[in-house]
Order: sequence, then structure tokens, then C-alpha cells
Amino acid sequence: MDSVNLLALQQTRAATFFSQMALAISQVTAVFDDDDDDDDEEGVVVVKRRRRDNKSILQEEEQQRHRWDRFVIEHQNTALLRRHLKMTYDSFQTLLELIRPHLPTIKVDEEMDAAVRGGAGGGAIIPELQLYATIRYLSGASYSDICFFCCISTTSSLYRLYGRPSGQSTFLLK
Amino acid sequence: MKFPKSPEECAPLAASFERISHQSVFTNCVGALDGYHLPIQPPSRSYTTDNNVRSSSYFSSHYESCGINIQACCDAHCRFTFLGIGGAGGITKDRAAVIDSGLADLIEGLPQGYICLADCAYQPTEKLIPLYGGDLELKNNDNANFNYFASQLRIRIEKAFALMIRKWGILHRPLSNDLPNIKDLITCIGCLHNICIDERLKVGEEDDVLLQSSRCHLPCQQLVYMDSCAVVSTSKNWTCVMCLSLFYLGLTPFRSIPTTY
Repeated sequence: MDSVNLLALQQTRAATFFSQMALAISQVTAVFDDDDDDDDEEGVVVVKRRRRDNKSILQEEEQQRHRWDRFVIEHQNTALLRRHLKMTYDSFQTLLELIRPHLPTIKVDEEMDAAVRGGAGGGAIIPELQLYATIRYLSGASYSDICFFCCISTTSSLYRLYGRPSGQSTFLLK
Repeated sequence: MKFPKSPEECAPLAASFERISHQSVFTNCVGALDGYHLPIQPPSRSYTTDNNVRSSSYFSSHYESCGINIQACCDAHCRFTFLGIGGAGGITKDRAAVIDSGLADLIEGLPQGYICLADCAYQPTEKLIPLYGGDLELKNNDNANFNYFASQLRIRIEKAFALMIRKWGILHRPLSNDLPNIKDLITCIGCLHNICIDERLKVGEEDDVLLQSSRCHLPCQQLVYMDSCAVVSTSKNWTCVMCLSLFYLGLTPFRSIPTTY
């Protein structure tokens, strides 16, 4: 008898859970419904549109480039920045000025870059971010970690670290 | 990273080594020298067929891993003045690697009267002074005394390696980079290591525990050094080992000595 009661309890719990889920999903989708301009559409089309909207919002939130200036302003006086850079921010800047001419940079239109930077995904990988990613790599982070918290795509992070792959290279010890 | 060549460059290095030397015994040492087995993943065959070096010659049976021999020289503040690749880790010994990496030529080019210290694996020359190893240390009392004073300076290079490896965590596990890239990577890490130490010296954090000395706070008032015969209490009162042992034997009139750590 106990087992039957337990089963019933589990079923009711599952039912309440699913109902809550359904409520939450309906609330979330209601937001997207409000955003839609066309209300008079068939159900199938609406479902497709919802999926697309959902995906685009995820992209906007997650695939944004690491905002270096904002990161520095937030953490300039805390110990976090020094722990991440392994040195103070001042010496980081002096180091960057030393190696800035040697870093691979793509000449971009600044207005265009700022516009892209505000949106989803884009923006050039500035030298500060390159040096930051390199220091993180040398202090033990793996490629996937760097790609995640700097928000760089995998291929471009590999190019930054290794340079573009050339043909056969030979190793001479001396 | 700059190896000293002129007497003007050598003088401050020698002065900083003289500071950490007990009773200023060494006045002309400009660097401590050592090799390090840098563990790497077993290299691919394409890099190793060109030379006489085989893939198996990177395996060192002593360290039980594949690796590269790194030759390094540092100053008294554990900053690297030289960092180079000596050869494949398995077959290259330190006395051959120091020639292959180009460090031997630099040391021979030192101005007259300046030396570098190294451990007993190296070939002694006029400018490169190794310590006495094995039976030689026990054979003669002078040899043991020399080793005592020289080890105080030579410990700096071991300290520098440890600082570098703890700080830059990519060296914690075997490097999986391509062999041609490892030289640049090591040089880069060495430069960053120097920058970090420069910054710490600028701030003025005195990390040189060996330099600290004080008087024993008990009436014996003996000058105690941190390296040899000092015990530091929690209340910053220094106690020499002699007073402490007398206390534990019950020969001193003092009721309590601050607890040690």
C-alpha cells in the first residue's frame, strides 16, 4: 500500500512540475508573442518564428565579445584583475606598449567596429585582449576556457596563439 | 633578458650577489647556472627524422618522461639573464648542453675576474665554477666550506625555476606544443617571469628571507640569520637556536618563550 501511495505522490509531484514548466514556457513565449508584429498567422509558422527568436536572443546574450574596457573599469581596484593578469595593470600596460608594434592587428574602421561591438558577436580582437588571452594561456588555461571567457571563436584563438599554419616546418636545435 | 658583457653590467649583479652571500665571501659572482628537464609530450616523427636526433632520444630515463634540456642563468633576485634550449632531454647532459645552447661562449666572454656558479654536473673552466660533488666534498674540510658558501648563491637558480613553474601553470604538465614553438614559448615565459619580479622589487616587497637578520631577543643578543640558526616567533621576536635548546633543557630562568612556527 505504501508503494502505491508513493507512486501516486510521485505522479502528483511530476504533474505539478510539468504544469509549472508549462506555465513558465507559456510566460516566456508570451513575451515573444508580444514582440511579433503579425498576429494573424497559422500555428506552425508561429512556432517556427518563436524558435528563431529564441535563438537570436541567446546569441545576443552569450556570443558577445569580451568587453575589455568595461572589465577593466569594474575590476581595476580589486585583486581580481591583478590575479588574472599576474601583474599590476600598470605594468601590463607598459608591457603592451612594448609589444604592440609586433602584434597582428587588422585595420578596422573604428565607427564600424564600435557599432558591431555593441551588437551580437562582433568586434575586432584588440591587442589588450590578445595579451590577456596569452597570459591566461601561459598560466594554465586551456583553449576552450579562453574561448569561453574571452568570447573568441576557436579558430581565431588558435591563430592568435600559434600564427596561421604554414607548410612543413623543420626543427633545428641550434 | 640580457646576459652581462661589459664590466659596467657585471658590477651591480656582483654587488647584489654579495649582499646575499654570508659575510660577503663571494664578491665576483654574476650568475648561477643550472639545467632543467622541461617535460614535453613525445615529439612527432616529422621533426625528428631531419637530424640525428631520434624521437626516442627525448626520453629521459632519469626523469621517466620525454623532455627538453633547458639551460638557464639567473641573477640574485631570481631574474633570468639567459634561457636557452640545450638539446633533447634524454641524450643531452648538462656539460654538453651548456655548449650547445650558446651559454658557454657568453660565460667565456665575461670580463676578467667575474665568474658564474653551477652545480657539480658541469665542466669547470676559468669562468664557470662548479661545486664539489660526491666524495670530493667529504674529502677535504675546505671543500665543504666552499660548498656551504657557494650553495647560498647557487640556490637562486633553483628558486627561479620553482617560481617560474608555480606561476606559469602551462608548465605544470607536459607541454603539448610543437617543438619549433617551444623555444619562443620558454623565452616568453622567462621574460614575463622577469617582469613580475621587477614589479615586486619596485613595490619593495622584501621576499629575500635570507637577507633578514636580527638580534636574539633573549639576553644573549646574538646576531641571527634566517637561513642558518634562527627561529622566528609569532610575535616577531627572534630567538637563536642555542637559547631555545637551553630553554627546553631547563637551563634558562625564563618561564616561557613564544611559540615557534
